Parts: sequence; C-alpha cells; structure tokens
Amino acid sequence: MTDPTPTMSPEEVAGRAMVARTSFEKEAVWLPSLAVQHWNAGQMAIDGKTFTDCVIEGPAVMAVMNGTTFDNCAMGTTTDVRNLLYRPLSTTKLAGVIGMSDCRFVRCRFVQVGFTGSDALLEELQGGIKTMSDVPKPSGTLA
Amino acid sequence: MTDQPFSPTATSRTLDPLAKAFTGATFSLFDLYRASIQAGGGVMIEGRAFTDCVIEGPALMLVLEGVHFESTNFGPTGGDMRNMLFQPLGNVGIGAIPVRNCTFTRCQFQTLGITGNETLLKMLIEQVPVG
Repeated sequence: MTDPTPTMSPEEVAGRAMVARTSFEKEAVWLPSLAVQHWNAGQMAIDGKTFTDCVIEGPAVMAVMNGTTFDNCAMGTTTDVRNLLYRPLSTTKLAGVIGMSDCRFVRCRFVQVGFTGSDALLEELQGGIKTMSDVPKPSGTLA
Repeated sequence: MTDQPFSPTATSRTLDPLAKAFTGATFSLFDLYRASIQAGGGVMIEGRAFTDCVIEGPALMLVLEGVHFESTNFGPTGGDMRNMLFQPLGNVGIGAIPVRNCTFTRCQFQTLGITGNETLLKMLIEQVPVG
C-alpha cells in the first residue's frame, strides 16, 4: 500500500489529523489556526464538529452557517451583544471570516470571536445569545 | 525605527512582532496580532508601515483612524468591493483586529475582510478599483 502523503511535514500531518477530528472536549481551540488547517486540506468551511466545554479563541469572526448551534455558551466579554456581530455588505461572498456549518457548541466560551451571517441569524443572535457574565465557566480542566 | 530583517519568504514566526516597518514579508495578520500582544505591543496594531507585504487571513481588519492604503490589492473582490466589507453592529468590534495609524503600501491581502465606520466602508466601495 502506498502512503498517500509521503511529502507531508509533521506539521501538515498534525493539521490533517485535526481536520479529521469531529469532536473536541475541554480544549482550547485557536479558531484561525483550525481554519487554516481546513483550508490547507481543501475544506473552505469547518463542518460537522462538536465542541464541548471548550474555549474557542480568536481573533476571528465566525460565519455561522446552516446547522450550527450554540447550547449554553458564553459568547464573549461584553454587555452589548451587538459588539460581537457584523453584517456583511455582500450576500454572495464573505472574505476573511471562518465558515462553520453543522457544528455544535456546548458550554463553550468564546474569546475574541465575532459572528456574522444572514440578517435572520444576526437577529436571532441579538435576541438569544448569552455573554460571559450570564454563563458559569465550564467545570474541569482545559487540556 | 526597526526594520524587520527577513526576506520576502519570511514566515510569521520569524518576524519581530513589534517592528515598526515590515518590508517584503509574508505573514498572517492573526499571527502578528497575537505575537504583538504577547510581546507587550498592546491590543491593537498601531504605528506600523507595511510595504510590499503579503498579509494573510483569515481575519477581519478593523480599520481605525490614520490608516492609509497605497496601491494595495485587497484580494479577489469578485468585482465588488462589498464582498470584502462588514458593518459592525456595535461600537466595539470584538473578533476583529484593530489597526490604527498604519500604512499599507503595495501590499497584497489574502482572505482578509475589512470593517470600520460607515465613512470608511463607503470610501472603500467608491475608491478601491476592482478587477
């Protein structure tokens, strides 16, 4: 059997392994790095992952796409959730943001992460998301 | 003024995050921002001159006062600069990387979005040539 990736560096191998994971638990996740690893693997959005009791770190702006949910998460350190939100001026292309589809965030804390998406999504986030002061920190130790 | 001494192929990891001038460097804006904070450079990228640099994302640049773009390529706009732009809904742009009093000369942006006040966004739409 031929090794399909004979020229990959150790960093690339580690990146591909990260891309292949579908669940993250009690970890600090650096979102820009995770996105770049997906891009390098040919995936322009992060899809189908579950994050539980994680700290999701930026700086980054997440494009919340179909099927992504937030369950009891602390979205950021602010008293005004609008400080976390950006409205794209285009409906066809979003540059610089990290697309996430069919991802589930459970009891996660977001640090330096903003959010963008459709007008309906932004309305929903303004009405329903919790900020850091609303949610207790997840128990346990981060890896 | 400190010039970062590396070649055009220098990676983010080899840059001095506190350098006041970057010439011919390739780096991720989020890497520079994080390294700058860790090196004591404050919570915004301020007072830097970027010349002939390739600046990569993913990142949303929050353009504050005193930022100038000279012959800078904002990336594949798809013929409409609005594809790169975002309007902040609040007064504080959390998640974006704040940049103040910086110049970008002949730089190439890759997967960078831009946000800022309404005047800035309007100016970019009207004045940046798109291919």
